[in-house]
Amino acid sequence: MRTLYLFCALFMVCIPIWAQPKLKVMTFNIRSAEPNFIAQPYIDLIEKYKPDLISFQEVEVNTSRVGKKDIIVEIASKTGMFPLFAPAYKKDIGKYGVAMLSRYPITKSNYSALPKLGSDPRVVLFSEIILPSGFKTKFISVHLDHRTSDVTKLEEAKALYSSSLFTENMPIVLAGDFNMFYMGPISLKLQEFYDKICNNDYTFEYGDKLDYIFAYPKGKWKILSTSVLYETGKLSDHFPVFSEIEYTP
Amino acid sequence: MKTNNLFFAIIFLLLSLPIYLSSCGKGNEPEPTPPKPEKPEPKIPAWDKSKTATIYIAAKLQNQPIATTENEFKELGDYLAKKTFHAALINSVNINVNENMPINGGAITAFASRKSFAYALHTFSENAAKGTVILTDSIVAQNETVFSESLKIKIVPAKITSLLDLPLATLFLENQEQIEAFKGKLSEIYTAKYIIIGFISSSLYSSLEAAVKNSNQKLYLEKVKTIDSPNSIFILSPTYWLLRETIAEKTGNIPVYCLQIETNVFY
Repeated sequence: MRTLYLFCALFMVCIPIWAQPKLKVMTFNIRSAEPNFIAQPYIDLIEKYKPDLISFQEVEVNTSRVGKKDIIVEIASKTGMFPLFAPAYKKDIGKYGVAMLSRYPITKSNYSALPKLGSDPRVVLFSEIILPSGFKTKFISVHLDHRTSDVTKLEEAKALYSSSLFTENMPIVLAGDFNMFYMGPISLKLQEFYDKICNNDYTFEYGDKLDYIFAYPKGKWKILSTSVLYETGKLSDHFPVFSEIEYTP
Repeated sequence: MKTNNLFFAIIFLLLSLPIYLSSCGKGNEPEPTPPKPEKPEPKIPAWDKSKTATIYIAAKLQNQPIATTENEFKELGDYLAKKTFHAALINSVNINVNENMPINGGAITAFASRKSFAYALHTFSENAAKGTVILTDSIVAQNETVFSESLKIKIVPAKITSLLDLPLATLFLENQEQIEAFKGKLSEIYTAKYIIIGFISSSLYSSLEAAVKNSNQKLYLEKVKTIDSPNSIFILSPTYWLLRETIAEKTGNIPVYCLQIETNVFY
């Protein structure tokens, strides 16, 4: 009988540990897939790191440059992931914007334009993902403008810390190209709401740290590993950021 | 004088005989009832194709996945690429998210047909996702509303023209418990003005019909004519939608139904 009690107690202790969701998150600015889009390097990257969630920026779909096809859906079709794209503006015969891929089904999504304060229209893509355990998280993909001042960028980034985002108290993973300095005012503002779950290594070929992953609520996500994947070399002028994280309820 | 009286009596009797006989005959027949004012058949307006949504549905309607190989999904995508439609639904697309590089029939079909896709998740356990793929020109937004622990509705707004919305929704009703949950949501569905293209266990259709009939909501329910099978396709919407035509086709071993559904039909 004592053994049975011990087994039950051990089982009860172990359940929360097994239930703690782990996610592998990547963000990658693909620079419009210049000069010509070939899906295979992206497929290889996904096969190697097996990310659960990927945020892409500078994505062109159906333009002449990318062979008049939806490159995000193409990558999804080869990797088994669920794709989403949000257009910021029309380009050539297609569109330009941000995108995401999720290993898990996307239950909700929408996107909204960010205030146009810099050179190009920008957009933020929101989604809700469900894991087999029933755990749900929001996943946000964003690309902030590179020509705005810190003051205007704070205005541009407001959608990322709007109170409406946090009403359901659902965990959030936010990833993208923020075009910001990691100790700058935008980063500090975001860290009032989110934990930064990546390192400060440079992600742009000229040595800047521009690409980040954040997570909400603060103190609930543990970084298991994080790195910048320099191995992608000339695939883009940015390098992907990759973090393995665990949610601790 | 007597002869005269007798003569007149006979004449009177002979003349009154037809009246007597006819009155007897009438007595055996039912009293004529005044004609009832007939309820006029609703005059359905002529089909206006400019406000008609073309929706393709690929569905085996068996309790099995619609396809399992990359090739099968690609062929379905190639087939749909040749068609013109506002939305397409592919029922029973299963995806095992635990596999390394799993086959995602939604992504394969969307890429081949040059569409965007959303996935209406029906069940998700042990890493096996079962659901319906929705293809449209672009996914501007998608929403999922949980009706009960086992019943969710997926909403993917699309367009027929720039001015005409197609507030498309889908779900799968496979047990009585879900019908009960659905029954309680019919007023919500009516208010939201969704056009639901749903899937249902054929044995439950009469329960759905009764639920809609007793709901006091002005809802249009139509069972799509398909092959006899364990599952069926239905349309549930406000009454101003009307299924005008169903054409059954086939690609490989996958049955495909082309529905023409007109909006703003008032009669």
